Formats: sequence, structure tokens, C-alpha cells
Amino acid sequence: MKHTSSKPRTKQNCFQAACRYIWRYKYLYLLLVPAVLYFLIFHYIPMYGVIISFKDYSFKKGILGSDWVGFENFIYMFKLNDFYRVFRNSFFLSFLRLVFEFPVPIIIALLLNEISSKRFKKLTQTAIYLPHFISWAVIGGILVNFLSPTWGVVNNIIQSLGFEPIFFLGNPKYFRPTAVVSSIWKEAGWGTIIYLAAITGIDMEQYEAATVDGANRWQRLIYITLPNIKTTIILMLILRMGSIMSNGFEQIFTLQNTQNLSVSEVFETYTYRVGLLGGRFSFATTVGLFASVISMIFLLTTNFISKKMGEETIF
Amino acid sequence: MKKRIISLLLSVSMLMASLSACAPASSPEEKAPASEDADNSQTAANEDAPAENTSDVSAEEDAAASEMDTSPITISVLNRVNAEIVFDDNPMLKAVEEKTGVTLEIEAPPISNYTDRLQLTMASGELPDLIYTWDFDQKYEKWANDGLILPLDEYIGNYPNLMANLNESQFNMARVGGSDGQLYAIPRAHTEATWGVIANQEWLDKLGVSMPTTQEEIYEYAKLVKTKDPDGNGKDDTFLFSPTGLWTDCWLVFSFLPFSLQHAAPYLPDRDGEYKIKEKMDGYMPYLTFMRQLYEEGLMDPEWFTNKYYDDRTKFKQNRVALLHGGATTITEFAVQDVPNATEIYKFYPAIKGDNDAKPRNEAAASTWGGWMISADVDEAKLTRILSFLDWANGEEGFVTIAAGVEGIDYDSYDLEKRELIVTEEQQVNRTAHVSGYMNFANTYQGQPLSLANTPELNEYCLNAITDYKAAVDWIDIPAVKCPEIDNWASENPDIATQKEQMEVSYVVGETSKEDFEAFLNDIYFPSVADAEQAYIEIMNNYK
Amino acid sequence: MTAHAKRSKKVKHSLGDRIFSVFNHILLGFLALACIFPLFYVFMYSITPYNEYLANPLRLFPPEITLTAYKELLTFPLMKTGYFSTLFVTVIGTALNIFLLCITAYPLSKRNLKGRNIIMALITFTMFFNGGMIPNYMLVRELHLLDTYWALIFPGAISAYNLILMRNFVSAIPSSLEEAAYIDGANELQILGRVIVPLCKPAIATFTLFHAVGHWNSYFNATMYINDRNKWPLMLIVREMVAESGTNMVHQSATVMEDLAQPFTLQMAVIIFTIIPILCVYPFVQKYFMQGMLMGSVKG
Repeated sequence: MKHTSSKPRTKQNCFQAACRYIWRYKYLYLLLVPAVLYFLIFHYIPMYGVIISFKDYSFKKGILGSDWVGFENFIYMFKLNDFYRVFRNSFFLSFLRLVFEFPVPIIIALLLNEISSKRFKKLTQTAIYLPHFISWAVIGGILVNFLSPTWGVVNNIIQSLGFEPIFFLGNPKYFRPTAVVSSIWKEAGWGTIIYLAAITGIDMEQYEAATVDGANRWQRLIYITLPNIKTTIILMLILRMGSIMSNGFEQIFTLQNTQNLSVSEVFETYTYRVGLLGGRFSFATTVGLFASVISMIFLLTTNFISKKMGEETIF
Repeated sequence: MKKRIISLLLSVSMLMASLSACAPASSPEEKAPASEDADNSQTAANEDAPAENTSDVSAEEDAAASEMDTSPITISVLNRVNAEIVFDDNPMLKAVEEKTGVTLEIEAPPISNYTDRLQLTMASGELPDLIYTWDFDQKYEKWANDGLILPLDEYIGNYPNLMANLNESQFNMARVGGSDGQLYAIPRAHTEATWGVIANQEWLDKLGVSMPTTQEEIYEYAKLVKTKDPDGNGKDDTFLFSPTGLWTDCWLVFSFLPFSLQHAAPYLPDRDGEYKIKEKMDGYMPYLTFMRQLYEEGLMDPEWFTNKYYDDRTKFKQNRVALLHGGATTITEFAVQDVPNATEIYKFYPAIKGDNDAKPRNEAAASTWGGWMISADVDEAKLTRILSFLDWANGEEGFVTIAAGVEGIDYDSYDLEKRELIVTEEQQVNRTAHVSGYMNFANTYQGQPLSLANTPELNEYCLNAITDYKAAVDWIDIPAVKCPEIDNWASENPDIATQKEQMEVSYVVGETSKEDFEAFLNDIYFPSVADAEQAYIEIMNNYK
Repeated sequence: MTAHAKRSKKVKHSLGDRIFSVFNHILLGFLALACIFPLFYVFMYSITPYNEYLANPLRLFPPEITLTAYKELLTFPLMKTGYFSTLFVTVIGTALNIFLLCITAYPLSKRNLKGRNIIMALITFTMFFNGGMIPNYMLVRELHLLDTYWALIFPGAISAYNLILMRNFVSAIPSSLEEAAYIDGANELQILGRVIVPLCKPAIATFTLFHAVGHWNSYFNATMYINDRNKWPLMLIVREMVAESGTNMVHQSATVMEDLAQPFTLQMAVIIFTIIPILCVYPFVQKYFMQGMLMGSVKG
């Protein structure tokens, strides 16, 4: 009897405790309701669409009614010779971006913070945001004109310095550097915003105290600014690892041609090409799903390492 | 320039108005002088001055019209329509309603994302009655096979205008699973292709040569263009041409191979009369080798493989290259768009002639601008109305009404024989909001569009260019045969298909030796494509 | 920056500091030029007649200028409704984004709140997996949002990415401030409104900028969900213009040729057209990045 009666009581107790807990934090939970509803309705309800990767999609039967084909789409994907090359290209290019592109906005933000002239700071900030608003298709057109080995300005300069002209867009060797540099140019400025916002949150008293203690600019940068934006940097890094498989369709497609295909073909362009050629409806979803799983593993791993090191994490 | 054209148009239209009193001419008495003044003495009476009065239809169509059910009905349409068009109170749509009883309820997603929206609509389970598709690709076949759209073979025979305005090849484009398959869409007729070369005539004159017609002459001319500095900037930066891809430049390809653009299967026999896949044809290697030579000697644009979309045209207009692949109307397009004196400095020539050919070739595939699919949810009665509407739209009255709009509002006068549309500036504003190429249900009537160019002079220039061209070439129709095996091969082996394209380019730019290239073809490509090739040859021999 | 801070800096400027400063100015100035220069080209191309561009694409100053591209952009029939749609979606959409971002980030910043990690994990999951175009379309249709502005606002109401960053900003607020308010008898809702939001102004400014720019530039959802042309946003209309002017069909129906801008020129004008509103709004947002918001607040 004791045994049986104690169980419901503890359950009840747990329940009551939970209720009390929730009631105590009722406002906080209340605040979460819209977000939970939003993610349920707009993200989790349509999520059933991912099963299209495991189906032979029929327009008549719809996603749920189509016949299951198991892992057929994945087997097809893994059997393609190009798949591994594309995988390598996507990862390698993205990794280069991580190494060269990721730190640039941080460095620019730190440098901007050291500018004391407000006007210069404002002008510079505004100027470096501008390229973000030009689409890759247009930048591609400008690049082709600028980098042309026959008619381009860049090669005119290279030639006047006595070197052979470089065919940036035609030679596979130069594809990755061109892609990385052009996307630093386009996005680094815009990327500084988040770090500038983080820097703005630093308590000015810390700087004042350090100045009184005789710290120079460099020391203040290293010992005050950087530690204060560390959590933002780590968070951005974790999020960046979550897109380790993506390179963006537009830029790659713009800079791509038959000659540099061996290094420039990435998941986004490959899906487009194969989808276009083959009319395989599930293929894009299948490749997307695969890339997502890999990316998520990267994000979770980074998050885990960060947690172990006692740093900022997403969860 | 602008003023000149407007005044010219005004004067022409005023002349027309004063001579023929064509403006609000609706009574039969006024028709007689109009047709006399139209300077069409040799035309048959029933083809005369059709557009001057839209109620004046030919005898044949009159009969058809009297049979036509004109009771009010609403047809919902999904179409790709440009953003300028206004659907509310559109006089053209009203005219259509008056003449056919059909109220068109047009749903028009943005043209730049039409394909996505089309796919969504097809997947959503709620289809409009009439659906426009841009291409007859594998998606189209899937819709047909999934039973979303209706097969139309058993009906089309009843519709004389459809049968007259569309030829067998055009219908075949819309057949599912090969040319003996079922028809699931009414094709939207489009202008037939006239492939040839646009030459910078100024350069030819300056270098003192006439337009090269053979491969050797092309090579000699390429050297002149490279070394003699035709643009006079003191640098060796002018080239023969800058192709977009290896296979689109028919003017050069034709001299080596009978070709239908980029297909793996050309659908035409080789010079020996046998059907082969492109890579096995006699001219395949010589063509690529010639390109390789041009590239190696710096005679063609070294950046050609980075060309996208219309880069070849831009380079031509920038006086960087001497020749451009184009059609009979390309020069007038340039004249309208950005090179006002295009008709003076450029000239259109037929393609380069093959060594053993008597005349240059023009290989023309059936020309369609997609087609119209009918939802499987439509009942028999409505299907009849939809088809008879499409039939009307492919006839003279329907074609002119939909493409030209309403006389007096959207245009001043129209001469179907000369394809000459006279529009005042004010009417042009109306036109832009009421009609467009996108709104058409058929882009051509009897093979020609509403007008060839937008001014009478350019229109005439175009007509002459086409006439000259047709006299000069050997016209070869590419049969609209479908070989699903070939298409399926490419979709099953995208990596080999891509690798072949890469090998071709890399051979041309000299990075792959002939031995390596041939080894790739023999060891990898041919074995892989063998089954599809077999099927293709069988299909073609059966077709013959 | 207080007068005190400025004075002390002046006094403490060492030689190293000055060299660093000069170097810093040069570097950033160079960077700014590198970013402006291509845009300058874009602007010049947008006012250069196309045939002049063809004749010499790398010329900096055109011999004559033309404003046809801008004229065409501004007089396009759908422009008026397009402006309204975009303004409506940008203003209402951004307001909703920021509101949801604040109320969601605050409870999620509480490290000890039970269920927080599960919710964060579920939210993060949506960054990787989505159902694709067809299920999303069906959902919007079932919710009867098709052809309404809400179809452009609700599906992107919360950005998981921004939420994660916003939460980080909220966490950075010293808990002492919150505790002080709590002791004064404020509940969490009041703390959010009176303490958190005012202290998060730089972050809010940042995400306002991100979301507003996002709404301003977005067109894809409109291509899917909006049929009524009078509800098309500006960017979709502009895209359509560029797409169309590339096709010959339109030009063939045009009589007055020189009134039609070239696709290329038009495209360049569109870029300028896209940037200008941002340049107008940005100075108002920028002031939040210029000063330390937390200054003195801990003390007080």
C-alpha cells in the first residue's frame, strides 16, 4: 500500500512543483508563447516536406501520398562520381572563407573603434556597407570587365609592371582566391555591424580606468575591447560552422565557367545543374538534406567544444 | 532620332488616314477604297485589309465564327505576363470577350520566377483551366504522366485554325514520350529561326575584303582582324568572334556538321546519310580542331568560355569582335535598342558554307514559345470552349485582336500582308498597358509575327533581309523527334555529360591533347552513351 | 564620449598611438575607397547612354548623361503601389520582427529557466531543415494569407540566427541592474520594458537595420504568395523590369526607342535606387553605434 500510494504522490508533487515553477516564471513563459507558436506553425508543420527525399514525387499524389523509394535518391547521389569532388570543393572553399573571411569584419570593427574622428568613422562605416547591396550578378559583370586579360584594368596594371597578364576567371588556380577576395570585399563591411553593436555595449568606465592606468591603445584593444566582444565572436563562429557546406549560389554561379568547373562546382551549383539536366525533383532536397546534416554536425561539435571550454554556447 | 521617328510615324499615319479614311471605318462602303490604297493589288480579296476593321473577317473565318459558341464563359489562365500589363478594364480583353464570349481570368505571376510558380501551382492541386508552360521538358512530361493535364489529340482535328497555324513539327514538340506520343499542350507558334552571321560591315570594307563564305576564307579573315587593327586603337585586341559555348555558333558549326544546337543528338543525318550522335559525326573533330587552331593563334576571343548570356553580343557591339551569330531580325533589334545606325554598319549574312555544300545551310527546328496545357479537372463542355478559344486565337481575327489590341486605342492601322503596324505615340502608351508578346496565345500567324520591327523602315529592312536570306540558303527543317533515351542518359549520367563538355573546351584551349580527348571519348563517353545511341538511331530510322 | 575622456586621451597620446592612428586612418580610408569605387562606376553607368558605355566601358566620366533609366523606374505604372507595399511590409514587418525578437530573447537569456535549452535546440534545428517550397506554399494557402501582405511578414517573423545573437546581447546586461528592478517590485514584463529594452538599443538598432534591409530587398516570397500586382513589393517590380527589358518581345512593341533604358543601364540604376533609402535611413540608426550605451548605467 505504502509503495503504491507514494508513487502517485511523488508524481503529484512533481506536477505541483512544475506548476509552481511555471507560475513563478509565468511572465517569462508567456513571453515565449508567440515564438513557440511561430516555430511550430511556420517551421515544424511544413517540415514534412523533407520526406520528399525518400519518395518518388508525384504531382497527382502530393508529398504525403507519393510512393516511398527509401534511400534510392541518396544511393543515386553517392554513386555520382562528381559528388565527392563537389563535396570537397564545397568544404574546401568554405573552409578558406572561414579562415580568411571570418576574421576580417572583426578586425575592421576593432580598427573602426579606434578612430576618434566621428566624421571619418561615419563616412568609412557607410562606405564599407555599400557593396553589400550590389547583387552578385552585377559584381560578376564588373569583375569580368576589370579582370579581363585582354581589356581589363587589373591586367593592364600587371602588364605595365612587367608581368604576364593573369586570366583570373579562366585559370582554375585563381578561382578560389578570386571568390574569397571578392566576397570579403562585398560582405566584410556589412559584417562589422554586429561587432560594432557589441563594442558599443562595452562600459566606457573600463576604458577610462585603463587610460588612467596608462594603457596605450593597443593594450586597451587587447585587454578590454576584445574580451568584451569575445562571446559575440564565439557565437558568430558557432553559427558560421553551421553553414560550412554553403557557399551561396549566386556568387559561384557568376564566377563559374567550363574551365574552372573542377574547382568551382559546389553543392548549390551542382544541384542546379543536375536538377536542370535531369528533372529529378527530389535531388535538390536530397543534396540539401545531406548538406544540412553535415552542417548541423559541425555546429553541434563547435557548440560542444565551446561548452567544454566554458565559453558561450547556443544551448 | 526620336523626333524623326515620331514625325515619320505621324506623317505616315496621317497620310493613311487622309487617303483611306481608315480610322473609324466600320461601314462596308468605306472598306473598298481602303483596300485599294493599301497597295496590295495582287492580294486575294479575302485577305485584304483585315485589321482596319476588326469585325471584317475573312469568309472562311466568318463561317467558323458563326458556328462558334459565344455564350459567356470564364476561363481561368495561368500565364507569364510582363509587369506593364493592366488587367482591369483592358480593352483588348474586352474585345476578346465581345467576340468570343470568353472572359479571361488571368493569373500572372512574375515572369522572372514563372517556372517556380508553375511548379507550385501544379503541386497545389488547384489548377487553373488553361496553363502556360515555357518548355516541354521532363517536368511537363511528368505532369502529363501524373494525369494533371489532358491529352488533346482526339480534339485538335476539329479546329481548322489550329491545324492551319501550327505544323506537324510544332505539334510534335509538345508530344510526351517521343513523336508518336500523345499531345498534352497546344503549342504557341513562334517565328521560324533564320540562323546566320552578323558582320561588322565597316570592318570588312576597311580591310578591303568581302564576307568570307568558307572555312579557309574565315581563317584568312581572322588573321586580318587580328593583325590589321580594324578598330584603329593601335592594339592587337580585336578578334574574329567570341562564341557563347561551343555549339551555339551555328554559322561556323554548319560548315562542319549538320547540327541542331546543343543537343547530344542532332536529329539530322550526317553527310553520309547515316544518323549518328554528334561526337561520332565526320565534322566533330575537325570543327573542334579548327576552333583549337583559332584559339592557339589568338584569332578568337581568348575569354570566350567566360561568356554568359549576351556577352557575345556586347563584345560585338563594343567593336571587339568582327562576327556574331544571330538571326535576320538581330540587326533591327540592335537598331531599336542601342545601336541606332545598326542597319548601316552591320550586315546579315547566311552561315559559313561547308566544303562540299552548294549553298549555306539553315537548320531550323520547329519554333514554339512553349504551349498551353489544359487542366484535367476541366469538363468536356468547357474543354470545347477552351479549344475553340485557342483556335480563334490562332486564326486571323483572334491573332490580330490579341497581339495588336483595339484599333484606334492601341494602334492606328495594321497591314497583315506587310506586317506593318502603325502606332502613334499616344497609342503606344496604351499598347504598353494592354498588349504584349507575353499576352499572345499565338506569337505568329502563318509563320510571321504581328510586326517584324517597330518602324516601317526597319520592318521593310527586316522583310528584305529574310527574303534575301531564304533565297541564299538551303533550308533544312530539323524534325521535332523526341528521343527520351538520350535525355534520360544525360540525367542519369550528369557527371559524364559535364566531363565531356569540359573535355571539349579544354581540347579547344589546348590543355588536353587530341590523344587524351579521343581516349576519353572512346573509353568513357561512347560506352556510357551506347544504349541511348542505339535507341536514338532506331528512332530516327523509323521516323525516316 | 565625455569631455573628460577626450581630454585624458589627448594627454596620453604617445608616439606609438599616433603612428597606429595614422596607419589606421590610411588603411580604413583605402578600404572605404575600394568599396566606393565600383559603386561610383555603377552610378556612372546608370547615367551614361548605353552606346557611350559600349564605346568605352572603363571611362570614368561620360561625355553626356541621361536619366532615362531613372525616369523609367519612377514612372513605371506599378511604382506607386510598389512603394506602398514595400513601405508597409518593411515598417510593420520590422516592427513585428523586433518585438518578437525582444520578447523571445529575454526569457531565453535566463540560463536557469527550465526548458530553455530544448526550445533553443528546436529553434536551431529550423536553421538547417525546412520543408521546402511546396509545403510552405500550402501552409500559407491554408492560413488564407495568399495575396495579403501578411504572407510577406509572418513566415519570416522570427529569424533564428538573429534570435541567437540577440539573446547574447541581452545576456551581456549586468544582472545587478535587473535585480535592482526586481527588488523595487517590478515583474519580468516591466523589467523587459524598463531595463532590458533601453539597454539593448545598439542591438535593437542593429537588428532593425538587418530586418529592414531584408524586407526592403526581399522579393522571393512575393513571387510565391502574391498574385495581385497592386500588392507587389518594389524589388519584385524592379526585378521584373530588368528581366523584361532583356527580352526582345518588349522592345519590338515599343515605338519610342530612346525612352526605353537599356537592361544594363536600368540594372545599374536599380542598384543606386536600392541603396539610396538605406543611405537615408542609416544615419538615424548609426548614432546608436557611436556611443557607449552602458556608460554610467551600472553606477547609477
